[in-house]
Amino acid sequence: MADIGQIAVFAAFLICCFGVWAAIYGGWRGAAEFSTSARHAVIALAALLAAASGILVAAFLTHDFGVAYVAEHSSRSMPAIYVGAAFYSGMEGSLLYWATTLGLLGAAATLSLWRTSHGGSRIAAQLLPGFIACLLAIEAFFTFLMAFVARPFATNAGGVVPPDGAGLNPLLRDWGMLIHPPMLLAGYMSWTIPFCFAIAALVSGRVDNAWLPLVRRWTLFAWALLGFGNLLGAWWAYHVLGWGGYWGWDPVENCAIMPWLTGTAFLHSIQVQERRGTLKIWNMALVTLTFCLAIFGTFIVRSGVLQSVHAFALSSIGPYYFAFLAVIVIGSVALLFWRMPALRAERDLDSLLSREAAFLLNNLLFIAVTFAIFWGTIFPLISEAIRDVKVSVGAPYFQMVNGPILLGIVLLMGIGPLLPWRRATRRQLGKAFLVPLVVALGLTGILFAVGIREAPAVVGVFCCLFVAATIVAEFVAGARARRAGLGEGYATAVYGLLRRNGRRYGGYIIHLGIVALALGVLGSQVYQEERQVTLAPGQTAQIGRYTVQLQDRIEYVDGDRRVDEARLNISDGDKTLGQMRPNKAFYRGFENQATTSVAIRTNAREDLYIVLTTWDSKGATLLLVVNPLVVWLWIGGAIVLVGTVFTMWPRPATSPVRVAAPARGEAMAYGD
Amino acid sequence: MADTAIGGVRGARVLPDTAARRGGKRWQLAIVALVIVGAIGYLVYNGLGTSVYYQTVSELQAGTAHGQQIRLAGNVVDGSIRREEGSSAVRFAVADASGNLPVVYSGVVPDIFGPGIEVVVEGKYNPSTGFVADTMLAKCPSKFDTEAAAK
Repeated sequence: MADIGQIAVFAAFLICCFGVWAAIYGGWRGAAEFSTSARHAVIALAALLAAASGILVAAFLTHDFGVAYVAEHSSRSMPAIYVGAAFYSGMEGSLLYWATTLGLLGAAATLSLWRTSHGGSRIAAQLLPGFIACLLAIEAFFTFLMAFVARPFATNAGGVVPPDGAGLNPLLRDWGMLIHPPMLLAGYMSWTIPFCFAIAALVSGRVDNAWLPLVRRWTLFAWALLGFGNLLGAWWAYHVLGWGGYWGWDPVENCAIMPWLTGTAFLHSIQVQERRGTLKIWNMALVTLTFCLAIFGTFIVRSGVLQSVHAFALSSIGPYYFAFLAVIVIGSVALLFWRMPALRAERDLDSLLSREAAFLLNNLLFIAVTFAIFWGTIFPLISEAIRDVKVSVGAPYFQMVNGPILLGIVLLMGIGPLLPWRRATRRQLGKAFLVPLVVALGLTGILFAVGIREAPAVVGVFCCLFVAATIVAEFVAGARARRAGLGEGYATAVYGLLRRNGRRYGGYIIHLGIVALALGVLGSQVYQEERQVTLAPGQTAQIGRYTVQLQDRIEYVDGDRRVDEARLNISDGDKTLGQMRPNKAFYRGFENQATTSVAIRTNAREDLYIVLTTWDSKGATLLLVVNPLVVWLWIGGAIVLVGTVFTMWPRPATSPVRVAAPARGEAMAYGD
Repeated sequence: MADTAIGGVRGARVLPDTAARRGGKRWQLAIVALVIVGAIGYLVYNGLGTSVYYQTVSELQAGTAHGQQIRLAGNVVDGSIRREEGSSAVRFAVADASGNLPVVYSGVVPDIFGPGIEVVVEGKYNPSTGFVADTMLAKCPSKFDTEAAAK
């Protein structure tokens, strides 16, 4: 079976090579049969890679330990459900996962583009050959790696078939681990599609704004997937790793957030191009940068180039990745220069007080925060290479630098969407911002009075409240207009806004989710309380408003693990809140490695977070943490996802009575 | 780029769109961008002041950095781990190519901590007390790999 898998991977590589040639030749000569052939190559590639993945899964399920990858990443005692975690837990498997998901997504994008061109869209027909060629060229790289360098179906040296595999690290036995890495890898992968569109636009010369509506949904999809992957990573770190936080500014985390930041900038700046015909070169550069960062991230999680607690031994595929990145950068820059004359802006900026200026500032800040993270991440390497001094750049750097920039981005979220395009008058500004400003100031004042006094918290909370107030005001104005025009109730009117004008109002929902997220970050960063205590049975400790009492220690065996658990009674003053059970588990085969299980008690205001550190004759040593507002991170993430669905949802086909936009100038019309 | 710009606002309020006016906007934009870039440059420069230096065991013992926050990377010496009763403190020795050094650390010990594991400890060194660490990072035996596969 494994041989068939390796043959499938090899065939996939050949098909990519053929497809690239067929797409280029077909597009260049206008030879329809070659274009059809290239399209079929995309579908065949997806099928072959899916088959190869299926064979690898089958090898795991049948315990085919003759395959080196299976022997290294699984064992007979491993529950079948973790076969997924084992699949992408090493380099070879994650390459196959990447290539397969890209094969499937690429086939979907190709078919949708083909159908659009069949429906009479000239631009779709013009983009198709370049799109397929770029997609298959990228796939050719990954299938080449799997065919020759990091072979997922390689057998053990000397054809040995061990009786059992080495097993999967217990740290990975968690359902968060089952979905977080594949989501993140898929997020990286899916940025390939917008990049291929951009290359296709450059190659075909259709660099006007016509390709943007075609790429918008794919971009939003990639953005949401990568964002979700990042948030799941934070969730996993918080709930499983047990150090009390959710984001450690580890190089692997930094590499995952950078493409998301530049991708967010791209999502915003393409709106300026669509609307005003400017920033064309910038957009091409941004999507290329995002794709490069995504490839870099894919590579970094599987290499030890950067000093990281996640680091691997330097892998054999490093040089290939750098060559690939070099080809992408040089190729994209060359194409950009070639098409430079067609990429000129159609108009100039009218005023610094305009929507497009706000977008420019947004882009500047997103690039700045990406640069700051990038610099902090690679500074240790530079310092070591140039000064021969090893340093570590830690969380304090990232907090000091990124905190103010991210706050600026949040504030812009309230200002930008309310500014009209081209130029704002003073009257418009007053009308749009007076009420939200007063509301936010008033609420911040109340919070100040009840004891929120730390400067970062006050400024941050004010920004968040201001943004939330502007969004609520927008919804109220829109819903009123629909009520007046269509006689709808408020709930129906809001739903109508989201359905009829999902781009704009879905975007507001996303912004609202980001505000919730920002509040979660602020609360947990500024007001976290932490202490370490050793308790004998019966003793109590105090943290925040909670009293923690150690009841006793329970040891039990559960399947292939031995669990050592502390039973804690939690109360708030006289009120008993229940029991919490942090524990440590020791898995068979990994007896020396404890797997910590954190106990968390969540409510809207704060999390009580307890880690069992050690047991000895004096009792249990516990890490007690109170993390305010953390739950809003996860709620914010969910809100962002809901908003993204609305922005991607196709508008209803029939065109009902158009509702007059409430008088807030041109700003209101955007998104139609 | 300016030559091809179709400047000007169509509609009710047509404003004169001269090269000078466009130039003025460009200057304003450039100044705003410059101020922001400068502020961010300052933040980055300032922030890098928080970076912590790595030293080897022999550099620490040669002793120029007493009392400074320092990072030390190495492997936990086999058989050196001792836990202190009644506290979360753990004592062990860290060895690198230049020698080994006793370390005391109190706090949450990473799950994979153990003999031979590669660790990074951050804290202060003092000849009399040894290395007092307030942070410990353990290098995952390659995050997704097994113990057997890790070196």
